[in-house]
Amino acid sequence: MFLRVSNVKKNYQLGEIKVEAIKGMTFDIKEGDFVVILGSSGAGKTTLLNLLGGMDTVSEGTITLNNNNISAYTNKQLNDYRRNDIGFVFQFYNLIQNLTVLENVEMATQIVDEPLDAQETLKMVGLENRITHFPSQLSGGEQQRVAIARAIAKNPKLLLCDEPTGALDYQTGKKILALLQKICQENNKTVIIITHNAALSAIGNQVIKVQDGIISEMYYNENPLPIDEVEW
Amino acid sequence: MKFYKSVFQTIIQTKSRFLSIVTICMLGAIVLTGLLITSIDMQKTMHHYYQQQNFYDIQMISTYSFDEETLNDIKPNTSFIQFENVGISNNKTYNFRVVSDENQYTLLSGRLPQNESEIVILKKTKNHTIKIGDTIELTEKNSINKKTLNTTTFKVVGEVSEPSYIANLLGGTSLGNGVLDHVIYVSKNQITIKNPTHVHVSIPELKQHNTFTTTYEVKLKAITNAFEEKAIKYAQDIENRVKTKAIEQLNVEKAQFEKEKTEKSKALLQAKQKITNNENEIYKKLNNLNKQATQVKTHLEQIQKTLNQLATIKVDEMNSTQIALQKTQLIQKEEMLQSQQTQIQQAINQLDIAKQNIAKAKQTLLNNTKQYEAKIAEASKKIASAEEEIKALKPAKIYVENRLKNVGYHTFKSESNNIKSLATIFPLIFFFVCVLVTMMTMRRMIEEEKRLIGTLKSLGYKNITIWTRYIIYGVTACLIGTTIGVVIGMYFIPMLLFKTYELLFRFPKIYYVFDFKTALLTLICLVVCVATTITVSLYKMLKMNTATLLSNINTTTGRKIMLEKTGLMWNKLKFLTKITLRNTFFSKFRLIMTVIGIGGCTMLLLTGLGLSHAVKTVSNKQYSKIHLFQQQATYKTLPITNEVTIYNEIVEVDDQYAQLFVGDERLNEIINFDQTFNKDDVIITNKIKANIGQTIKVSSVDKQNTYYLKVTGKTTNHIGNFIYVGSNVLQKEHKTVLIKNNTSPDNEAETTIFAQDNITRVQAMIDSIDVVIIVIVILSLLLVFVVTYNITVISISERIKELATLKVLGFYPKEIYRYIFNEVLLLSFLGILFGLIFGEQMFSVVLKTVEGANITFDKSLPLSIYLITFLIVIMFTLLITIILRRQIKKINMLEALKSYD
Repeated sequence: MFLRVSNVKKNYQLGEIKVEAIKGMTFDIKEGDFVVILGSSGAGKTTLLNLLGGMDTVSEGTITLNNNNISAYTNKQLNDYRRNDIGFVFQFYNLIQNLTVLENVEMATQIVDEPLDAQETLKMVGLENRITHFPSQLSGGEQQRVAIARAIAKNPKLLLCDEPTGALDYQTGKKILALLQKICQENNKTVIIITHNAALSAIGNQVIKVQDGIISEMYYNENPLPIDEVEW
Repeated sequence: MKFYKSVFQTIIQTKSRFLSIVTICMLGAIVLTGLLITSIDMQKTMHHYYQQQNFYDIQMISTYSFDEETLNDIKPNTSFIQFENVGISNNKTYNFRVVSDENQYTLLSGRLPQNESEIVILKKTKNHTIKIGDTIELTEKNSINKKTLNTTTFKVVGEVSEPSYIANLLGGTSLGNGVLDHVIYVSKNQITIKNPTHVHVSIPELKQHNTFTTTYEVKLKAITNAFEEKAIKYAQDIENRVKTKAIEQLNVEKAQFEKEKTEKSKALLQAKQKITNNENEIYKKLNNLNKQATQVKTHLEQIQKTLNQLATIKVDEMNSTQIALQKTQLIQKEEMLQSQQTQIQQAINQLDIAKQNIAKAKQTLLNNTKQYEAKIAEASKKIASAEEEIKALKPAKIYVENRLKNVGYHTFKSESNNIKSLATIFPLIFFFVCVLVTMMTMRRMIEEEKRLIGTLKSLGYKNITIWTRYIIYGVTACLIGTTIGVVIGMYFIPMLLFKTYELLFRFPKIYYVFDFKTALLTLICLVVCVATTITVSLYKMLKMNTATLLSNINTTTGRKIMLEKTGLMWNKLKFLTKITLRNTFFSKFRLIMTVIGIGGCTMLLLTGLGLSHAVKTVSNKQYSKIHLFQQQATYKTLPITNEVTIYNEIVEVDDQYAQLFVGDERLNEIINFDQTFNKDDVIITNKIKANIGQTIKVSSVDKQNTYYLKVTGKTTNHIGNFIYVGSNVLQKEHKTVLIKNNTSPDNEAETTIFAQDNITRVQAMIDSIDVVIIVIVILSLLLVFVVTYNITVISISERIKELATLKVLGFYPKEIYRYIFNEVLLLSFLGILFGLIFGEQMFSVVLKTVEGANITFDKSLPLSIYLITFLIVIMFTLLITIILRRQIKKINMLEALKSYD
């Protein structure tokens, strides 16, 4: 199995109160799938994302990627994992304001061993004409595209997207999702999207619904819809 | 109230930021109050001491002693005899100032003299070469050139202080090497001079002014002028009285002499007469006797004849009886005559003896006459010379010297003013940097709380209320910092500085003043600066509408920097370097603030280190670069030598002392002039206030000689003031040899001045400056630390989301450190560069204020000082980046997921 999450629990100690953010989750993800993790705020989806992204460690259980036990990684190994295996797309793009579009992508490509060509990637996301612009000169959708380009240019095994459309308007959000879908299909990249938007469940190969720290529902769509056909 | 509570919660939550403002304000306050208060403390302390000791305002020195009449008129506090005398103690020769014990002093240790061969000595603050129990043997060499003391050996029994001598340096003297080593107080009865030579006067109306103020100085100067006028009259009166007295005495002597002369000559005449009379009588008697003798002789001859006739007559009966009778009669007569003859002879013999006696008497008379004549000649010579003496009496002079000329007073004043001038320049830069950094910190805080401000505004809080949040935060930090700083500055800094000043000056109990004016000034300065900063930063924020404040729209725009636009090199640069460069020049505000902040610290440090260097090398520069001679030996008559010879004298020009050197071209061999010296030149050293072409009035210290010299050149000099005069300008007999080597001194020389002695003399001043510098350097280093720390912390906090993103993207910690710290290093590098360039200006300004009237420091800074300054600041920056690594490590990656920055 490409990604396996088994019996994962995550507790936080907030002063004297122990918060169980994830109370035990088990699921598998196949390589090349477009996965939608669905949940309302506070359901534990962001915690799950942090664990998958190597930004946090599990309290219990294991996470394996290509049979590598990530949950047992040291900080250094987690660093390498984030560097080489994960592409991350933030809700608020998190571009470096002081770097141009191309430089923002190059910044990511220069740290990995087998990156994609930065310019090619930007062409793929449709920004070949804007590579010398600074983020502040771009619209939100364009900025998110740069962020996606930055994430995939690293040629990661897994693309994690945290509410990628959260800061965008409806149409732009759709375009971004279409782009992600395209990347998934054309490049055979595993994409995990975390969202609170239930309408997006239609576009995923696999849908994981989380609620109150546990998986409330999980299913596979044999024929996921293209984003254009989904309305919300 | 909840609102204000939140402010204090914020303080606790952001305690490192709060503390950094506290620290910066504290440093600013320490420097400002510390340096300001030290000079105030010093001057107050000394002022109280002077008051309590009733220290003189005016001192008068008379070349003739002060007489009763003058003293009655002046009504001095004290009057005493003072002169300088060379003496030996523990086999070493010193120049002593001998003061009669009428002068007031305070016993510090030991006891007061109990008999007249015991003395007390002035206690010096360092170099106690003579201790209680030591013996001092005074020689005949003194400043008055006549016998001054009944006994010359004294035993030291006590150490005393006198307000005239508060500095370790006692002043100059005309004796020996020109340095006064000790002051001793000798019983008046041991001194042959009867009347006081010195008087001290206190002016009651000056008591109310602090002695170091300009008011005091101005008033004293006016009073001094009045005294100077009076002094001329006094001198004239004293001179007249001395002359009249001398003439009167001479006249008495003369009359006596005449009387004696007449009496003596009369007696001699009488004696002569008597002798002549006696002689005459003798001759008369002798004549009579001779006559008698002749008569007797004739009688005897007649008798003989008659006797012979009788013998021829035939003797018969008849006549026989008759003849026999006749014969008997005749023989009887003859016998009588014969005895008469013997008697006469005896009388003659007696007269012969009388004659001899008379001859003797005559001889005696002759001798007496001769003696008398010699005596007369002698006496008249004496009278003539006395007359001559009276005619030749030098005009009496009274010198008026005020407190300002007292060596102790003016060294003390210049030392405390040195600190004062440092206290204005240094804190200025310090303050500036402190305010700058506080400004950056507060601005950053306000920016971070953009959303909060937006929220508060949307909740309906007034701008003024929001403003109070930051004012409370900033002003609380500032007040805490300043208060601590003021207390440390008021007590700790002066305490530190006094420790060293105690080696240079004898302080009575030190007055630690808590000067509210200074404290308040510091407090107001800092609070106003911080409050203004906050207001200005907040103003921009408050002017934005609430929606903008709450939105996530990032208002900052990336920009290409100049270098990039030129296209040169840019593409060849490494990616990280590019980012560093672009980030560095991204925010002009931060760039300027950082450069000025770190630059300011660098300036302070460079100035401090530079001063320390200049001060330490000044004697070396003087005695190996300017004056190449090691000894200056003065003789009564110049020995044959092939060293350079000169005539020299200590002179006064305006209010400055200088050494006058008269010599020829050979001076070039041992003195480095800015231009070549020749016989027609008058070259003065740079600190003498005159320009080329100007004529200066130069008078010798004893006011005996005055020269008017036209300046033809100026030359660099570091220690002391000199006037080099060509031998064509002044004709003077050379008496001094300038010796190049440091050989043992020539005993034939009257005085020898060693270069080494002069070095020791400046050392005192150097020491005192050095302490202040050390304090400044330490504080500057602290400032460097706090400033770089703050700037780096701000740099990190501004980029916290960026750094978190980089972490999520898988950047290694090392790469992240470089990402942020390269920028900090570049900024601090630029700051240092800026500081080094402008620091040199500051250094030369500060140097000028420190150097005083006799010393010129070399303004050139060696490369090593720049290098050390550079290295120190860079090291501090590196150190801080190492310390702050932890802070970067601590950054939570989840920050990257937050919606706002």
